[in-house]
Amino acid sequence: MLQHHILTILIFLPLASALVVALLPKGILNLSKGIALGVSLVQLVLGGYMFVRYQPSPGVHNINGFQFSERIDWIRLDLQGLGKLSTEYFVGVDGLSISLVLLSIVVLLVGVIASWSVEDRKRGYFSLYLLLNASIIGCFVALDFLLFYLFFEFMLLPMYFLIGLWGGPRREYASIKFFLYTLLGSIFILMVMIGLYASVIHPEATAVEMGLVGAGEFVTGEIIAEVQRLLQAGEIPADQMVKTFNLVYMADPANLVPGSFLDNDAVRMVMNYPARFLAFLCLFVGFAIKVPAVPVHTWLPDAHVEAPTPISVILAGILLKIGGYGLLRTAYLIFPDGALHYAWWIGLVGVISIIYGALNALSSQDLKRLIAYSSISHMGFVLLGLASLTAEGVSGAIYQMVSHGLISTALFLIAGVLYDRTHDRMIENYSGLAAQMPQYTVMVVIFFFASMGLPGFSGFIAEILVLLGAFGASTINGLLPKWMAIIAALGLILSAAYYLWTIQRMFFGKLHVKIQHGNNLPDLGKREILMLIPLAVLTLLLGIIPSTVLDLVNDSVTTFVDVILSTGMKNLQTP
Amino acid sequence: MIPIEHYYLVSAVLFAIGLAIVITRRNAVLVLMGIELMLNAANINFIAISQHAGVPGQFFALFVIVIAAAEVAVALAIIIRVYRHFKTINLDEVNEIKD
Amino acid sequence: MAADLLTPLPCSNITLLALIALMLPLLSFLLNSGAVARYAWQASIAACFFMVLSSLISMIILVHVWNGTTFHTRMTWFVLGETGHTIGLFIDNPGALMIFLVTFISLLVHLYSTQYMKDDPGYQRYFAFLGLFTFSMMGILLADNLLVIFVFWELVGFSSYLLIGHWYHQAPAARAAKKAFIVNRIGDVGFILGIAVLWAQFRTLDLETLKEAMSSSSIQGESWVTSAGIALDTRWLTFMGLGIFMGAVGKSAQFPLQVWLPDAMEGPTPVSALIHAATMVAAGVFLMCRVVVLLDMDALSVIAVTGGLTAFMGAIAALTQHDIKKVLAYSTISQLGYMLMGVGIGAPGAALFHLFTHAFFKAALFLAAGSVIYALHQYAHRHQLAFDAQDMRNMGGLRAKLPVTFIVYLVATLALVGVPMFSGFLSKDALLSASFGWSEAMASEGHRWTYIVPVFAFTTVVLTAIYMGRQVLLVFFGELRIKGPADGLKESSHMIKFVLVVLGLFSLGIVWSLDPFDYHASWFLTLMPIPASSVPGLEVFVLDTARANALDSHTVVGLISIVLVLLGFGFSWFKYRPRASYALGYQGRAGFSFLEQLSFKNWYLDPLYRRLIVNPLMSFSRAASRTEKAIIDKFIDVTGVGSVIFAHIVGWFDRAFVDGFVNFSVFFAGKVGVLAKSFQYGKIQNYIILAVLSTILIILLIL
Repeated sequence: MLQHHILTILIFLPLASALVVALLPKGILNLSKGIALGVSLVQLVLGGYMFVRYQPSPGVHNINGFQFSERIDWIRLDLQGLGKLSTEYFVGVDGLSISLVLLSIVVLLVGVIASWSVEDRKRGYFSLYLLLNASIIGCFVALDFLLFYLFFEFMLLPMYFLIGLWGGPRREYASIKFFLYTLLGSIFILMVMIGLYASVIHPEATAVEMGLVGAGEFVTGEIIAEVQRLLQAGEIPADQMVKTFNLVYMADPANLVPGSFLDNDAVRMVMNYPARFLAFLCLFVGFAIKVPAVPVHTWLPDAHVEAPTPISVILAGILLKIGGYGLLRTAYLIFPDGALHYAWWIGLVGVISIIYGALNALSSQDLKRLIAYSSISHMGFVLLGLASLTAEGVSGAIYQMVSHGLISTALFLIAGVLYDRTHDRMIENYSGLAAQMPQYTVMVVIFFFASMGLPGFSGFIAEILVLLGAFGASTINGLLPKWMAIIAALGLILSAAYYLWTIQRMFFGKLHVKIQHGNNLPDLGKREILMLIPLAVLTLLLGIIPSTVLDLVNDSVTTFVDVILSTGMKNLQTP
Repeated sequence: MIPIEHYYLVSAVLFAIGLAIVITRRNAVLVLMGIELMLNAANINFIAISQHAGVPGQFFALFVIVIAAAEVAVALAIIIRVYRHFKTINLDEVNEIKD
Repeated sequence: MAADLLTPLPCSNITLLALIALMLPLLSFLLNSGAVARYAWQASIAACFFMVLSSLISMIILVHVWNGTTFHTRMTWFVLGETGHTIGLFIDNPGALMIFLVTFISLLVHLYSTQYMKDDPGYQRYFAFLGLFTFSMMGILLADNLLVIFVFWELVGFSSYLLIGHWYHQAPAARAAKKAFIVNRIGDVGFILGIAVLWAQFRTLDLETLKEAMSSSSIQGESWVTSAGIALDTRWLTFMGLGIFMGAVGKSAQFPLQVWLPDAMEGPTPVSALIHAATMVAAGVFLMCRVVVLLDMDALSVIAVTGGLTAFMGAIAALTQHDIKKVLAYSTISQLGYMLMGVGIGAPGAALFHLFTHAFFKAALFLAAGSVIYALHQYAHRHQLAFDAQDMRNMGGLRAKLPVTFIVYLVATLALVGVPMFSGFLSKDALLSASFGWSEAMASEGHRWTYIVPVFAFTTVVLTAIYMGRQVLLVFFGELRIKGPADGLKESSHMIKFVLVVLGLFSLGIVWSLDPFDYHASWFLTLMPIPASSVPGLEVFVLDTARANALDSHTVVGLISIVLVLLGFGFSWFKYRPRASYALGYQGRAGFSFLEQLSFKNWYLDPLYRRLIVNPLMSFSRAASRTEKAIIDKFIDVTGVGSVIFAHIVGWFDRAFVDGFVNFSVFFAGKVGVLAKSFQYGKIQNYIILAVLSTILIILLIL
């Protein structure tokens, strides 16, 4: 019972709680924090259950290979000449998503604790927070494009208000910038989604429609194969086709309607460009904005600097990963030919992000901005790993997402600690803090080194895997040239440079704080330690025993890489 | 026998006089009388042609006379109303349609 | 490929012992970092105890591998795709000797530090980090896999960062720590890339498997092909070797990355002894000895030349330093150059031998220097004097005040310079002969330029004698240059003296070889296996000839080196003897000639790098942030503002044209109406005229 509804509970529990919080009467507003915390704790327990019960298995392109899955017909519409529309409420996890779901649960919990000091309009704050919670989880588990898109867009609303209402001095600018940027990306995704919808059939529902099986009967694999054969032979009349948004069906080229817009056999040209490549590019741009990749990254530093600490945490810890995950789940799986065709460019964008982000971090005056740019630099590794399409590279990319989720969460908490005390984040205004705040300094050193990829922490495993994958790609599949890995490795030096320089300037030397009332700098409080210690333990655990995550991920990644390479090659060879 | 042309001539002169009265006089009653003249010019034509060509025109002449009588009755009534309203029967001053 | 070799290997008693020896320092780290401040002293004693245990275990291990057996335990760390990454312990003779060396010197440094650091507020932190360092260092020595070696490699750099920055509130220490880590990182990136080449080629990083895979690969034309058929350009073979060497360049402070080591002297002196003289910096040498069988001829030659050059450059820089520790630091750079040269010329055994003898005598020198500094500190403290206790210009004549320190210092100096009967003579002789033999063998192959390596090596012998002679003369002879009361300058506690004496004993030649003139008689070298290099395309016979040449020439080389040492000592006595003008004017010494500046400023490398690397990098970074603000963000903002302006234009268009059209039609209809209305002006007679005229017109038309 729990097995099949656990994901639904994960999504709808916060959604319902958001409603409850929004309707709380004035007298018991303090309860809103409690509810948010309670929801996150329940999610943590459910996440733990999932972690224990998850059986490593491929999933990816196998409709029955998803775990904890729940599948209900949602909308069926007869569009006459356009065929029939079918969308499903289809949720499930496989190796590509499970680690990110677990990461989200942890980061969201930390976010609630970090929000504990919010006193301003807390009813609104926490109900938006819960809304955000629901849409994040939904995004990672949705297996229907429409559902995915719904959650993806839904995230914007709470995020916009949380930055715009609870943010720093330039919050309006930042929140609008964030909103417009992401919305632009969404439009690209929406275009492709509609194109895909017109091109993909739902083989089971089509079988029912054609009368091959009765409604409600089990559709066997042979029947599906028969439907797909008939489809490719062009023997299914248009009014009997049931079109679908199902991501798994979309990934199977046998479900593509021959002659449709995104069919891979008869290549449609749009402005002298194959439509499938354009569609891949659209998806790539849409998600690259979220990742964010240079040059569509400038919303991130502003949003981070202006957002309140817990929102920065969510933003860096989870939202960026949705970009990477979206690429994996949609762009790569549906358009493997595009993935192969553009591998070089994606790798280049990754490398540029790594170096450019690091250079910007080096010249940042603001601690939070520095961390934001380091995020851009680290997320560049995700793109580079993905582009390599090797087991190491893709695992490294997923690992980097998880690892960066934990580390950047901690880094923004760290920046928040200082901001809470002095309302100033300028690096040059501090020096010698180690003497005044020893525990804080220990945490800073731990997480700065974790972020720069010191072995023993998760970041190292991720970055070394990506580098091995990117370098090895030249002998495995020849997608990336070797110099990309070499340039990317230089990013490691830069990250050491900006972090160590910051430590030296802010924490070492003689104690000196150039801010009024700057003498009131108590060391970490209990709540802050409670947030940072588990994160430190997790990063260490993932750094020392990488199999914790890699075992969950490995089967899916292997299948993912195989599927992309084989399908992509086949698609590219057809005219 | 008087040739038909003479009737035509009289009738045309009478019509022209009537028309001239209708166009030039400002007094509504005189205009009405001009119209009577024109109707009668027509009557002369009807009768003359019926006599000359043997078609039954008198019938129309009688008809015209009746109509003219009715017309005068109505027209005079209108003129009286106009007079009551505008305190004048000068047609130049009865021009409410303009502004 | 070679997948069967990557199966887990079971644990044996010896590897289990090694694991315990590895974990003890980690335990010490956890204990010392977790202990309550009140029990800091007890925790540090426990740390010493752990180190005792650890070195005892290493000794047991050493006994077991003495006859040449190796022990290897391996387990799967994580699986990726179909390939598993393993983690394991590998112990052979060099490894066992090294863990003994590290645990033993670490133990001595622990003991020494209990006295030296006892008044330091960061006492507890200091011992924790010592534990962390020892743990990571042992990890490098025991790991069987390049990836795991790299893990510990970086951890060593990290603990070195923490220990250099021990006195973080002093700006120079903070800067030095940062510099050390970043410079090491540069080397580490090379290391990663080297690993990446091996991974791309062989799909494994296990050293034993790599050796087999390497020997089964071959050179076919311009490509380097593995038995599995994966081909890379042969340049990548050299690239791989140089990449890994770059890691060693960083860690072992070789040219061009040696700039961090002198600055690292900002750390506490025992740390300098342990990390920046005896063990960590030697990790590069050890690593190169481990991977020497994977290197091709080009890489080896680069290593040899770099080593020789660094030996020379370091020795030059040591000539004019004033800081007692800086002299030793540059000397360390120079000696490390010797060792890497040894690796490059195909004599890794000799390199390791020198690593060992050097570890002991250099630790002795550093700790003795620490003893001097400590004594001067106490002296300054007692008499309320303010002077720099590390500056040799404030020293002089300490021979009488610190007799034990002096004797140990002298013994270690003689070992370092390479005087017969002391340990350094043996190992240095081995290296010098090897370098001579190598260049002869290479020259016979047509590479005459290789004579540069022995030239560097022999020149360095003279230079070493000069700078060490200078230091001993300036510190221990003559009169105390600082003016102050005569009393209160005395030898430190017994613990410090004990440690010094032990290290001094290990600097004697007799410990290493019963025949103090012939390194071949040394037990150490007999334990060193001659690496059977398996790299395709490597001209192994050259290295064999080199070894044979070295055997033939070692007597001559030994004699030459003795002459050179005497020459150097003579020069330094002449120039720096107590009554010479240099020594008399030393305290207030200022003005430098250009050559002296070149030496004092370490070949101007720091300003050079600042100008060539740091400044351009910072301007790149500023350019990036300007690009960010001035181009990308500006573009976004302009797009934003532009679309608002566009919206206004559209709005105006809407009002002016779309609305205008509607308004115009209304206006037009109105005008037409007015025109039409103008006929209806109420003159009834005009209507009649019109009607009549029209009728006439119609009639006329009809007719």
